[in-house]
Amino acid sequence: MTLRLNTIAGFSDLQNSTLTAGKRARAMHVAMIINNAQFGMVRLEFFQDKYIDGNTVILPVSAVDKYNYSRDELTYFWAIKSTQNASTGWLTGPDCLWYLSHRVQQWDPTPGADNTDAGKVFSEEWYRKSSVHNPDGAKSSDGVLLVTTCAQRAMSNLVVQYTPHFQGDLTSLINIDDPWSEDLARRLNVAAKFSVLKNEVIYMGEFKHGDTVPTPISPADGYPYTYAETQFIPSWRWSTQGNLYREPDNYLGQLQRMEMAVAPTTGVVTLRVDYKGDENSQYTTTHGRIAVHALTTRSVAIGPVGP
Amino acid sequence: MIVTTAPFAAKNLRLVKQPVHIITISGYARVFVNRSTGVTGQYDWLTEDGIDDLTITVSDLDGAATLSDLVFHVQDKGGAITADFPTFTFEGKKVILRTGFNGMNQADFATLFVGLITDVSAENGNQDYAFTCTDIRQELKRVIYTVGDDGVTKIDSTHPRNLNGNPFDILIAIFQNELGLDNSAFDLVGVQDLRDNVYSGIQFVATLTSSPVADEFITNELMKPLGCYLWPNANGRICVKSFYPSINATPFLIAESSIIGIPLAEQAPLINQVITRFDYSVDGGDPKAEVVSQYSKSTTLYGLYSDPHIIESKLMRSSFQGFYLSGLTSYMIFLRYGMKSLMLGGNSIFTSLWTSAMLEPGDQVLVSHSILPDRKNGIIGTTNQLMEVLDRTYHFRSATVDLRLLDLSSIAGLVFAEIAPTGEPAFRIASSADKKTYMFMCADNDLYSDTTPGNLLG
Repeated sequence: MTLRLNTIAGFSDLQNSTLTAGKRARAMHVAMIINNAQFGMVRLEFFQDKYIDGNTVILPVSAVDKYNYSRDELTYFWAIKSTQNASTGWLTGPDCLWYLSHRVQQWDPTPGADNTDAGKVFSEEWYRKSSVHNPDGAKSSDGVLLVTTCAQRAMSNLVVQYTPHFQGDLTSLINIDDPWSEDLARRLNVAAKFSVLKNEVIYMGEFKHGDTVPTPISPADGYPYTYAETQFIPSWRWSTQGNLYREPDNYLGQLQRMEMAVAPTTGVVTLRVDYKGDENSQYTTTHGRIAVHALTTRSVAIGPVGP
Repeated sequence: MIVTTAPFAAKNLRLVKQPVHIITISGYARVFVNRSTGVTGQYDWLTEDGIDDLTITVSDLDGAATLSDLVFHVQDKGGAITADFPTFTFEGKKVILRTGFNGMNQADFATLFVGLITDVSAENGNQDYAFTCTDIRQELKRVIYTVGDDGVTKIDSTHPRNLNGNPFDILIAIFQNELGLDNSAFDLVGVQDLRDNVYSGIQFVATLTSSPVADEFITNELMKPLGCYLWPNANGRICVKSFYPSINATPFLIAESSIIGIPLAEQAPLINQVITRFDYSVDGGDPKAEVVSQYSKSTTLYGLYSDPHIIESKLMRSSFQGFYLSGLTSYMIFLRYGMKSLMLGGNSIFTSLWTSAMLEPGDQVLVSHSILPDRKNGIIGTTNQLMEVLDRTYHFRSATVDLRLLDLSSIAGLVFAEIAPTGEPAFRIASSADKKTYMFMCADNDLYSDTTPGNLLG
């Protein structure tokens, strides 16, 4: 069965103090809580497609409620679907891959930042011959990226004053004749807000071998995630030296093997880029640079209702 | 209602009385009155023309109200005022108009107007002066948000100003920070109450790339989308009135004896379709969200022949419950204008005795008149019709008050339930008092298990 919502829900940081015994029981506030619960179902959505150099990732539309995402609600991670030239179906050359750089321009939330290129896909792949002395390096825009768009509604401006916690199953408190009590109203309010923040995607920046990706902090409520609540999603930025994008030393030869990992319990980045040089020489390096996103999931242990 | 003392309220209830008006100009020794008070420094030099009509006109659907200029006419007795000109500049001075009754302690007088003198013109062959005074809240004409987030004193696409917060926090920040108003210049408590109760959790978001004028921004971007309007009260304080239904336990009574002439039962303009546009991008362009709300109860009866009311909001976002909020505001408009409800004083004149002078926009009144048609019940004669005050005009010369009143019978008699305390028992075993007071969950047929009709959410 496909999830469908007839209207676009949104978020509201309805304060528990409004839901105090003796205050008017407002339909508006019940509706806000329902809206938050619905918003929690769709706040984070993922879209995926193939892109090549020069493309701009499309602005997605939710299949659930037809919500039109805006650029400032999107971040992107990517994987190399193919290093080939999408038009010819073959490498541009000459010879073999040397080094590469891929990027989807993220939205810069800095006030006044130039976001003209946000969502634009960049793919630069260099080729070379095997000769150490005459590699004849050549740049191409080969490469097909499989871009995952993390669409997160109100990504940069959703603010929750108090961290919400999981409230458990409240179904038993919702029956005909049951009171719309302060306790129930507040717990539903907090639970609905928890559903909004239960999963987040947070862009962590770019890292090189040996770096440690820190634990993320929710931009919405400042909640400090632990590594146990975090899954890291790395994307190759480039394959050459981690701290500077430039061609590898000639003697290293042609690009061979690439591996990346972010340790789930420590955030330590491990990168390995191998090259095939002259004759039988093979080199293993810690070259490379990755962009990292964190997919977070908050603990579902029942917590306090809070203020 | 304009707040008055008990002695004032008691005297005001009398149908026959002689209002005394006192006009004080800040820093000026002479106080002008319309009849002799015997108080030193008070001069009964107000001419026969006295004080011109003073009107507040409410454009509730546009989020605003306009207060006309106060013009009063004073004899230049023996050239005394002319003699004051070399040593006193009237323009820009604060004017307070207070009213009371003969024999009343002036400390009990009520304030009707606070403004600023903008013009002092000679008239009547140079024997009199006409003082023109404008609404004291001229600050609202200022341009606001002139500094970008980066501190640059000009906002544009590279130095934008981001707004993100509860719309009433944004309003308070405009008053305090952008306009530099003292908290006494606006109804801080009232605005905070809207922020913390009815509109708790509402969030507006925008990136401004140009600086707007305060009153246009407030009315178009904050008031209108929320179903509110801004109005100046008698003390010159800026207030906010929300369409969100509120029940006044003791509405002001306008009995037939205090109504002058025969009031015509007019119909309020019909609005049963509202179009709300929002989710504008930073660069402008078309809105990404548009909601067309129709009031089926009304369209079934009357059809769709009136122009839709259009709301365009740069700050409302679908990701912050824009769709719900647009529906709510539309519904509140339909409650006021969706059923061709009764209006008094719209195109005709509805005049009441000076007893009604303390009424302000948003006040609730109960109107009774023996020959005012009651269309709902199909009879001639209306008793205790709940209505809301919109416009008000003071006729100082005749000591009467014109009002424009809008039917509020859609909420008349409603009792809204309260949130129950934690531990409240279920409806079937709750005390009879609690059953009436608190909200309990009912079945899909709106009944409790014992078939009692469900209480109302407010």
